[in-house]
Amino acid sequence: MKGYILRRLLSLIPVLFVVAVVVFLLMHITPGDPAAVILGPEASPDEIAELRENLGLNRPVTEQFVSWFGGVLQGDLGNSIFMKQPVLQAFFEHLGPTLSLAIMAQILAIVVAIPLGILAAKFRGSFLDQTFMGISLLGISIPSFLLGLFLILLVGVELKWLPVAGYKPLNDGLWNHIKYLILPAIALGSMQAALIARMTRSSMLDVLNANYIKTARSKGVKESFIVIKHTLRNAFIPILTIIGHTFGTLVAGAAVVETVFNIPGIGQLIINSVERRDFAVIQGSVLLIAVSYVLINLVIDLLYGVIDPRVRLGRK
Amino acid sequence: MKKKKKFGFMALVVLVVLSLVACSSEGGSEESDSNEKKELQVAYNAQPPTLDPLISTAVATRDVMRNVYETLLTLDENFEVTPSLAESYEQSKDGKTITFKLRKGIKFHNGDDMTADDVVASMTRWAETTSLGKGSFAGSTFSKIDEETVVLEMPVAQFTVLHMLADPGQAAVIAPKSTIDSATAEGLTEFIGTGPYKFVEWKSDQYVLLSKFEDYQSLDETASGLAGKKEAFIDDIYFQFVTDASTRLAGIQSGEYDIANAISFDNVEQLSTNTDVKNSIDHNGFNGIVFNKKAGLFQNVLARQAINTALNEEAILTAAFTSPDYYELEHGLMIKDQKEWYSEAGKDKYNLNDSEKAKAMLKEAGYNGEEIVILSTRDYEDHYNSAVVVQQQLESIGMKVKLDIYDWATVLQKRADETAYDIFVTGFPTEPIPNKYVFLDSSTEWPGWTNDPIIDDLLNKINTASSQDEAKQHFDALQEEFYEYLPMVKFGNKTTITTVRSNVEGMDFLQGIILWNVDKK
Amino acid sequence: MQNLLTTEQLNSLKSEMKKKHRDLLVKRFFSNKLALFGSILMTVIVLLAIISPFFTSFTPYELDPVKRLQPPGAEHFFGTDNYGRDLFSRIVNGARVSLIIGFAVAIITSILGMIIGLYSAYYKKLDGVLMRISDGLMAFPAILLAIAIMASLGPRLENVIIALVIVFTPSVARTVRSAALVVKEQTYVEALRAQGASASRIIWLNIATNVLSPLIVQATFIFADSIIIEAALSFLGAGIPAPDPSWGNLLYDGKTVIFNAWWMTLFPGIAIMLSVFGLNLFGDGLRDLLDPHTTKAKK
Repeated sequence: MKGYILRRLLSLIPVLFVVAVVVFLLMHITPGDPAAVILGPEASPDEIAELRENLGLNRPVTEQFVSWFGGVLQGDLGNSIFMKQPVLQAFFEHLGPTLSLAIMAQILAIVVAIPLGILAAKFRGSFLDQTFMGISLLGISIPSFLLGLFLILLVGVELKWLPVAGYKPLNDGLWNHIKYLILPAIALGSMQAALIARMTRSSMLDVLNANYIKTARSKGVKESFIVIKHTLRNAFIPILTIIGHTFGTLVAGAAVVETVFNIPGIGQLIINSVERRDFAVIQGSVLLIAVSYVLINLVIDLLYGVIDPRVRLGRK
Repeated sequence: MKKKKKFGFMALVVLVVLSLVACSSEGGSEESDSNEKKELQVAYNAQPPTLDPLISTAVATRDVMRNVYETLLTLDENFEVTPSLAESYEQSKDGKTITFKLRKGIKFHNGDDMTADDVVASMTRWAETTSLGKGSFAGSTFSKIDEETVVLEMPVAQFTVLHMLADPGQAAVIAPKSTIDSATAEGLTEFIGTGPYKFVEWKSDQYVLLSKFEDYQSLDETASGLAGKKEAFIDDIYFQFVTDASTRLAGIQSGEYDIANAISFDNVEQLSTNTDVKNSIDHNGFNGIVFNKKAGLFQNVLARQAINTALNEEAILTAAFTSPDYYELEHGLMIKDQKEWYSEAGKDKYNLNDSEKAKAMLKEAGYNGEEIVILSTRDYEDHYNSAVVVQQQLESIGMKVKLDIYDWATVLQKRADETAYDIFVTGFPTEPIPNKYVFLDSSTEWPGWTNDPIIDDLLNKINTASSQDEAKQHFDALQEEFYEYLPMVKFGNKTTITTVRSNVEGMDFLQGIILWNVDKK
Repeated sequence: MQNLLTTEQLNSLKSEMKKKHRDLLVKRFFSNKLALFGSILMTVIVLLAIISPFFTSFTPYELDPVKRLQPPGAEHFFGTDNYGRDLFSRIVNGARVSLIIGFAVAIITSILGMIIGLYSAYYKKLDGVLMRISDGLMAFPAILLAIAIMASLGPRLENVIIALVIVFTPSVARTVRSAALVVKEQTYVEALRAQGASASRIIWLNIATNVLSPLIVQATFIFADSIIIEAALSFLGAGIPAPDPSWGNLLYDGKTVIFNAWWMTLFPGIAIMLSVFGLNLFGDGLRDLLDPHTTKAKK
């Protein structure tokens, strides 16, 4: 187990290196530079050149990469040119909204999808089943930002039930916090919900047809007990897989949803930083996201082992 | 055993979820202090790239920090110079020396008194950092005479010097010497001024929080433009950075924001039926196309004149600003409010909309169907909307035109590269003096690369004029030459719409929103 | 007894069986109602994109400022946008952009992914390098990687395709690789190798044909995902250059007037939804058909 974790952690290193090189190169072939953005539209070329020099942007690319990546290895992601603060700090300041949104979307998705999936499996082939699955397919087909726009149109503009955009931190009150996140969370979580519902249904079906369930049934065990105790637990692994693997996608999808709903999360941070060419922030944030993505997957894999001892880790 | 373990895991999951929920609800009830603070929520369309007004020419920096910082001189609603932190000023007969008497008892936000040393340090930094300072104050010195007197000595007399010192863009703000000493190449690190509001916090991508400065020393004269009485009725001003126009609109309607700037022109009609809000329509400079005069077709003045002859400014302005309520067909570089400057010169060469003549001129200029590149951005919807129409109009006189749309940062870089484009679309604020327009002076090397000895000479003459009459005469000639040489084509004057809740009173506008004297009932 | 069938007969029987098998597949595919519906939907969209210019009386670029923001009506089916351009013809043109992108990306990623996947399955050393790179690229959230690539390449249709190819190729390569690894271990491949068959022969004649099914299924989903990401990129202002009508651009235009011109958001949105829906149904049907064992849901 320990060896396995260690090996997985070691395999992070080449991944990170690739991510670092790619994002660094991308940023440095991108036209536009932070100096011009800082100085504004009426600045003269001389001033821009001078600030570029001061910001160290005129050094050779390899030198910039080495000094940046050297810092990264020591845990220093550099400083934001615009925010006058370390990248790490900026990242964590923006992490809150994104996590809130992603967790809320995830919870919403799980709460809605698992019962629906179970019901659909239980009444397989029925009208209910077909409706649910049709809806879930439709759910997969609506990109989150689009659903967001539709929700704004319907709930925000027509019905005026909920605020159409913005964000309130938790210390403004729980309801305030949640109120602003409901629409974005629905937008973000719907695809997740559709995936989970489909996965729940199909893995429930696999298990429901298994012999030991039939045995239990023939022994007269209560149906609800069978569904919850025997089936759900065994169907849990694929469900967990999908939850885990898509959580990363969820965080990424949050980027676009954040733009639609104007939520100051990581996605906004990165998109804004791209707009103003705040290289250090882009590089650092993308790197951090990649790390967490890989780590989340590791944790998910470890969880399998806990839930289902048949899954042996390290036997790849 | 095994079973228990699994159960334990499930329990753990449930616990984690529950505790998350619990944590969040705790956080909620924790903070609900309700000491009746007056808060003003301003939805602002752009985040400042920096808070140091000397570093950036960006409008967002100017609008936010004008509440925090003040200048020796400032502008009233007619763009005329009046003293602000200076009690009075006196210009010597030869014009080369200006003596400023400072107001007494002015306090910085950190509690220190404003001294002549602070003023000298601030003004010197301004002269050394800003393009205006470097361009017009090279060789000038600011020095302290006594605690209340600072003197500016210049190698040559400049007619426009007072206006330059009062200019709100990259304003010559007064900050404590200590914060100037600790400034880095990227600008100030502490934002301490003398203004009615003090800087509290900048939460990047979210807001800048300003709060009332209790010890503010206001002038007594009636408020006018940026001058006169300033009162802080509001305790906390939040500049919320809301880049998305529809979010600003929704927020101002729902009452989440008290003020929202840069409201889309398409939404004004809808807002005007809403009694909870009112719209303030304010003059906001002008847009136009700038020619690349260093490379390509538009090195040729005839080609530039052909474009000017072809354009239908009304259609361009309609596309960008929807209705004459929000734009003005106006040829002048200085607006009518600037009575000392406003000039009729060149009017006959504006908004010609004559495609037949334009075609002939184009032919004469030797245009042979090569592709013309217009550079623009969607980050400013009015730039983009104009660009689309300009493209269409140029195509209708037989030109081959390509629109290159990039994000703003890329446009800033591309337009500095003479091989990358022929025309770019941009906007300019109304400047208090003609010399400040970056597209006139050849020495700025500003993108587009205007290089006209006649314009340079006239700018110089304005700068060294001995009276307003003389300066105005040169400006008439300058505007005439502007329409002859055509460094750019001006579309017309534009406005910007700021929507305020009906319980908010006292907002004013001069080159950006003015929030002191604003009260919320 | 030994020669009951001549070679000829055998061949004809074989081809007949193949045909029957194919007929069966087709039948099975179309008996799946959802898949059938998906195919019909896609056919309609493709047809609309191709033939519509012949029956719309407006071009997608024609400005008419007087008729800005007109609601749907007899003259303009879907209303007009903020320049007075006909929304219907813009949406139909946008369909063309989306389909071109989706198709190009699906084809190119399939080819690239197949080459990379096959060779890294076959050559251990290459595998290490290629898979680390693809791990790295897959650790990027797709949309953010696409944004970064678009920022550096600049907004052009071809660049959107390049960006999406970079984003999707690693996952295709992985799919191909894992399918190929299974085939590679089978005894007949071992036997071929023992007989001295060349590597490229084995890779392309024996392994490649066996990874086609999962590849085709994945290509369908990539087609759908490309449409989504293109729309998202253009919506964020980093996709197709502006005056061109892509669905994302239409949504971008619609966003600013969402409060007074619902049609500018609703119709392009429905267009995106329907085509992605159609492709997903089609893909699901294909998967049930070609690849019945995979229960893996698409990402």
